[in-house]
Amino acid sequence: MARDEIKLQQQMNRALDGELAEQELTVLYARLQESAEEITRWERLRKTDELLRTTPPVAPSRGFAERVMAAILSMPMPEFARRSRGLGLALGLLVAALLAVPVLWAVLFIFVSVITNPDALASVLQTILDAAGYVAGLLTSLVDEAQALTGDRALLGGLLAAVLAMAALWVWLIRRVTGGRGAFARRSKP
Amino acid sequence: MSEDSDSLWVQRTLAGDPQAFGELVRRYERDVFNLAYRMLNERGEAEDAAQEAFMRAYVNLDRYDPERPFKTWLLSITSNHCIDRLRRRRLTWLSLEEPLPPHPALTSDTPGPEEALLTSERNLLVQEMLADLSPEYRLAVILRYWYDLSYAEIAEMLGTTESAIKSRLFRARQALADYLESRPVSTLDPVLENS
Repeated sequence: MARDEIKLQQQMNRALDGELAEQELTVLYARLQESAEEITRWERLRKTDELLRTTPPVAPSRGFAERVMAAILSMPMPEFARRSRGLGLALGLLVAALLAVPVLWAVLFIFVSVITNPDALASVLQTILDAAGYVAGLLTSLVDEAQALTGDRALLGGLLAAVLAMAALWVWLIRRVTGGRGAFARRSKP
Repeated sequence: MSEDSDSLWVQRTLAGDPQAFGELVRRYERDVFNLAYRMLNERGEAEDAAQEAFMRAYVNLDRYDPERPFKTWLLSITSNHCIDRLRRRRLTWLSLEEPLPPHPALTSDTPGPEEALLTSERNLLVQEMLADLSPEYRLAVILRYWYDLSYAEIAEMLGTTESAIKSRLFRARQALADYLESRPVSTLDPVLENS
């Protein structure tokens, strides 16, 4: 291929890419006018270029992105995600340990103080016995109240309805806070 | 759509939120699919290849260099995967001595409202022309015309020089023009008249 011809082809290529200045384009067109064969070649190139430029991209079928994500989520966790999760767990444990150490020290200090002082030990034991007595009394009165209520069925029905409504409200609140991704959501999947 | 925003979604994915990658999939599904379809010339295989490209991008996300545009990196993965598929396809054909696949217009997986564009005469003609090129030339044409990438960007993606891409593209254009010229007169000619 002659050097002139190669240069002409390069110029045509640059013209198609819009890289030629107006003056260079004028020179190219003048050069093309010298040969009918080159004019035909240029026209064919220009037509091909125009056809490619004006053909829009094609889109995938509906739901393609969702299918891709489902496939990705079903894959084993990649290395970077495992590292990231491991790092998060390690940081969490570190924070928990930092918080637990002073609390454990305080508990240990109180425990040692109490068992080394007989008066304090007796006082603590008395407080524990008093608390146990109070809880036992509370349970006894609750049982008595329940026995009294079984006599009044309308009141019992209302109480049960109120308890169920409260339970439903709690479930709804928990699901809303966790974004519906709790244990219930997971179990409902096939 | 900004590259900063892409980086943000990449960072979120790397931090352990796989759903963040979904945003990138939605953003680039059309680009990735179009590249796979133009390369492979078969819709079903193009969807498989595009999905595989996204999966490879996800698994290797920690190797992505945030200094480069995410889109270019993704297209690079897609083009490599498509070239691999074309090589495997060629080996399969050679080993099984099967006939060439039917023309895209004759395959049955193209109907549907979304595929009206795909089945348009212009698209069929373009696919027919691209199928006549070698995969390397076809890739250069696709990246230049549908993704508006510079020669330098294409060269970087394909691991070659800018002058090699210029030469490849010019030869591809000439081959396409020759193919167009050699086609018999048909009902597709109004498409050319309008272009």
